[in-house]
This record gives sequence, structure tokens and C-alpha cells, in this order.
Amino acid sequence: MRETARSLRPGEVKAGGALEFVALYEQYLPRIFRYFSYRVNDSGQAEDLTSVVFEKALTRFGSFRAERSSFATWLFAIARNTLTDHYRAIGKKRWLPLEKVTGMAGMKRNQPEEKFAGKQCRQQLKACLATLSSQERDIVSLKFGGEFTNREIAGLTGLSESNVGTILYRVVRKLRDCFGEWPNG
Amino acid sequence: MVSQSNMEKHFLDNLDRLLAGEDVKLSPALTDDCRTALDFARTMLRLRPEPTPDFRERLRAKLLCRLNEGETASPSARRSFREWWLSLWRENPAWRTAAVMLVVALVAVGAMGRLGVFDWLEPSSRLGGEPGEKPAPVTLETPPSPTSPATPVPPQEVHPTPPARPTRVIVTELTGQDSYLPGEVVTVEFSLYNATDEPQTVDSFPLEVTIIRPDRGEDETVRNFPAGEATKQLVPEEEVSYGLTWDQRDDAGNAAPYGYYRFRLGTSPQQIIGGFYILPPEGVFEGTFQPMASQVVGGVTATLEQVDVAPDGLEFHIVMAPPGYDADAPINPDSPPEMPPLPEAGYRLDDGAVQALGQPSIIAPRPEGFQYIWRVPDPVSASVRELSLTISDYGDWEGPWEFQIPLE
Repeated sequence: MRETARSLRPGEVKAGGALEFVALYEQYLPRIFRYFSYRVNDSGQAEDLTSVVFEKALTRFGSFRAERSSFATWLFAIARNTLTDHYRAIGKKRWLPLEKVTGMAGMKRNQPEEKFAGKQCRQQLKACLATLSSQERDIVSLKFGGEFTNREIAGLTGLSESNVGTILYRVVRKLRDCFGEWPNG
Repeated sequence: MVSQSNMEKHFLDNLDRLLAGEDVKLSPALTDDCRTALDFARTMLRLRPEPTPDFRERLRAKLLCRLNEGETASPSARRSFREWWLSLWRENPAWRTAAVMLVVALVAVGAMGRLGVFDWLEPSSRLGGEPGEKPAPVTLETPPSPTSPATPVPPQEVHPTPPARPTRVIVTELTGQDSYLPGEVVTVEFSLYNATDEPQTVDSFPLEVTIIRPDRGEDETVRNFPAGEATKQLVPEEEVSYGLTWDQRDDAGNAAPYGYYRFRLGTSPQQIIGGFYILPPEGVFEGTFQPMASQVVGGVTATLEQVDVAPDGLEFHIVMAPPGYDADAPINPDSPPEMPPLPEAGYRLDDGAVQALGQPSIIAPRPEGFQYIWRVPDPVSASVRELSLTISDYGDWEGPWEFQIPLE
């Protein structure tokens, strides 16, 4: 999937082309959606934010210049700003309180066991993600959700590439430890 | 014994391979710490959420529908302001003139290119477009003239630099980062492109470039790179690029302070391009405060509703109302609307100098008064403990109205 996502290079994009945009939508939808899924604690919100990003991208597609940045960088810049606007709109409650996340609201025990376990694990992961700083969560979201290289993340965040790597290594271990504290972690 | 940095490298290499979908066999030389971290990374990948087919279809249908309509979005965040001015616009020619005057005045401030204060009007753009997206190119000899539009500017079209039609040689900042660490060499590449059908000559190549700190008053020149003495001939559609490096030192050899910088080409304030940050050595403070604190001076109430301290700048939200302000007062069709008074405001970090805020980026009528929003493109150091905001005057009313915001 990662290779596919990179096979369409910015130079191949003809700005303003409807077909091109639809192709890019198909290609980047999972990455944008996953990015938001790591950044917000509700899949409905992740869907809403994903929609906003693609609508903005559609409106501004004509202004995209492949020689200036890759399409992924351009799109994720929109995504990160959309998230900032979202936080502003909801009064800066960036993360749900941990106890609210861990309350597992909405889970039903009559789901198949495997599905339930998967959902429970995702809830646990979200609870652990909620303990991260904004920067740590951004980087882990860009990595696991956006599938960016560390160099690309460095370009997006203004950090150095080595700093991104160090943070990633630290954060994954932190999440691992947090996850391990759960009964079935 | 494998060092921590080696483990980090192993982890990052393997993580990239996992993300690429490769089947990774872990080396026995890895420490338990690294191995379990990679195992957990696998778990994270396994738990990655996917968009549902239903959502995928719905959004695709929505986008296709918009593609078919050729619809262009408008910033919804400014709807109330738009509607208010549009109502004035429609009613009466005098009002229309008044409305345009304010809008044009605001546009002029933005068009000076000093602050990029209007960049944020598109909710997702702060640095002359999307972050990561470089600002629009400028053209040599025929810069746009937004302060004197040939046709009235509809109020909703508040934007500092309407895209200029390339008329001659276009100068673009090709590369460059959005931010640099203190002392890091700033490396930028500029491009000159002949957009005409005729050969063009660029005198004094490379162009003069001045690194400036955009200020609310006058741009501060930090470092000047004089123009070269070469003459450059460009055939139609020819592009030449050249690089510029800056060691973050001013013309006197002193290290430039952290903040927001731009490039000015030549001496015209309209030929300002690009933008980047030098980050504070202590790191950047980030936070949002909603003090909702009010102060009454001379019968005028100022309410500080919100302060955003973001890596790319500060934003202040204030609501003030002149005495007798009534948002619901009937509109008199025979007289133009009164302009909102403009507050004179400044901010200070700890005991530092007061920085003037200049013109607000936006003024929006609200039931309780006018909302003023200022945006300042300077980051705040993580070492700063207090932010102060002072409004010295509000139109004909004297202050000061003062607010202190502890940065915690």
C-alpha cells in the first residue's frame, strides 16, 4: 500500500483535473483517515475531518504546485491545519479525559469475541495515545497514520530528522508500556 | 553490547519496513526493549483503523458532485462578517462605498505583505498559503496593485494578494524550510521564469534580497544581500534558479533573534516573498487560553476572550463596544454605517518591550460589541512566563485596558 501511495508522484498530477483528483482521493483517503483516527478519539470526528480535508483540497487543487511540495505534504498540511481549527472550534479540548476514554462507552458485549477484543485493544490504544503530548501524538500519527518517512515528518513539523526518530522510538516504547499495564495488554 | 542509538536505528529501519508491508524477521542481536517495541509497532499497525466502505463511497459521491458543479468553497468561518457587510453592500451605494473602504483598508494592510496578517482568513493558511506550501510568486516590474482595485472588491473577497497574472519574469521561492533552529544556516533557492513570449533581460542578477522582520509599524531590515552585477537573458519559458544562504546574522554580525522572517526583493514592499521562522532555543510555547476577562475603563468594556499561542504565532480575540453600541439597531438607509473604532493595542512577553499589534486582522460585529482579532506571526519561547496585552486607546476613548496571561 505504501509503495502504491508513493507511485503517484507529484509531477504526474495535472492540477485541476477531476480524474486526477479522484485518483488521489482513492489513494490518500486511508492515510488521512488514519491520521485523524490517531489524533481524535472518535471515528465520527475522524470521518468529518477527513471530509473537510478533501473538500478543501478539491477547492484548492488548482493552486497545488508539484514543484514546490509533494501532494502528500500539501494534503497533510491541510489536514494538520484542519485539526488545529477543529481544536479551536471545540474549545481546545484536544483529548478526551483518560477516564472517559477508558470508560469504553458504546461497546456492546454481544459482539463477536474477536471483534470485541479488537475494539477493546483500539480503545486501550486510544487511552494510551491520550497520555502523549501534542507533539508526540502528532509524530506517531504522521508515522502510523500518514505513513511518512522520518525525513518527511521532519519537513512537516520543523524538527530534525534524527529528533523525529528519537521521539518515535521513545513514544512507541511509552505506548507499549502503557498498553502492557492493561489486563489484556 | 549494542548501544541505545544502534537500537534506535534498528527500530526505525524495521519500522519503515513494517510500514512498507514487509515481513520483518527480528535479529537476535536486538535487545528485549527494542524487540518488544517493534512487536508493539506491529500491534499498532494491526489495529490501524480503516475508513468504512460506506464512508468512502459517501465522500467520493460528495466530491464528485462538487466536481460536477464546479463549486468553489468559501471560508465559512467568516460567514457572519460577510453577511453583515453584504447586507450593507446591497442596501445603498453610500454604504457600499463605506463597506468597501474598510475592506480595502484591511486589504491594503495585508497587501503590504509585512505581516501576512490575512493569510489566516483561509482557515488553513498561515504562512502565505498552506504550511508547506510556498507563498505565491511575485512578478518583476508589474506587481499587483490591490490597494486600488479597478473594480469594487466584494466584501467576501478579502484577501491580500489576489493571484497576479504573470506578465513578465516571475520570481519564486523554490525551496526553503518553514522553520530553522537557532544558528542553522537558512538555505533558499529562488527561481526566475520568463512567462512572456519575448526574450527578457534581468539587470543586476542575482536580484537584491533583504531578509526582513515584518513589523506592525515598519519592516526591520536584518540582512541585505546586494544585487549582483550580471545581466541575465531569459528566452521565453526559460527558468533560472539561484541559491541564497544566510547564517542567521544581521548586517552588524549579531545573531538574529527568534521570530518570523521574510524576503524582500529589491526595495519595494510589494515584492515580499516567502516566510520562515527562527525558533527559540528553549523551544516554542503552545497553548490556548480563554480568560473571558473583562475590564471597564471610561464606560467601555473590553473582554479578552481568547489567546492562542501557537508555534506559528499569536492570536488575540477581544470584544469591545463603543458606548451606545446596538447590534440590533435599525439601519438608516440615508447614512453610511459608522466604522468600528480601532483599538490601539500591544503585547509584551515578560518584561520585554511592548510590541504594537497594529491593525486587527478581522473585525466582526457581535451582539455584545465588535470582535477584534489580531494575529502576530511570532512564536513565543517556552521560557516566557507571562504575556501581557494592553489596549491604550479605543477610538476616541482612552484606556488603558490591561490583561495579564500567565503562560502555564
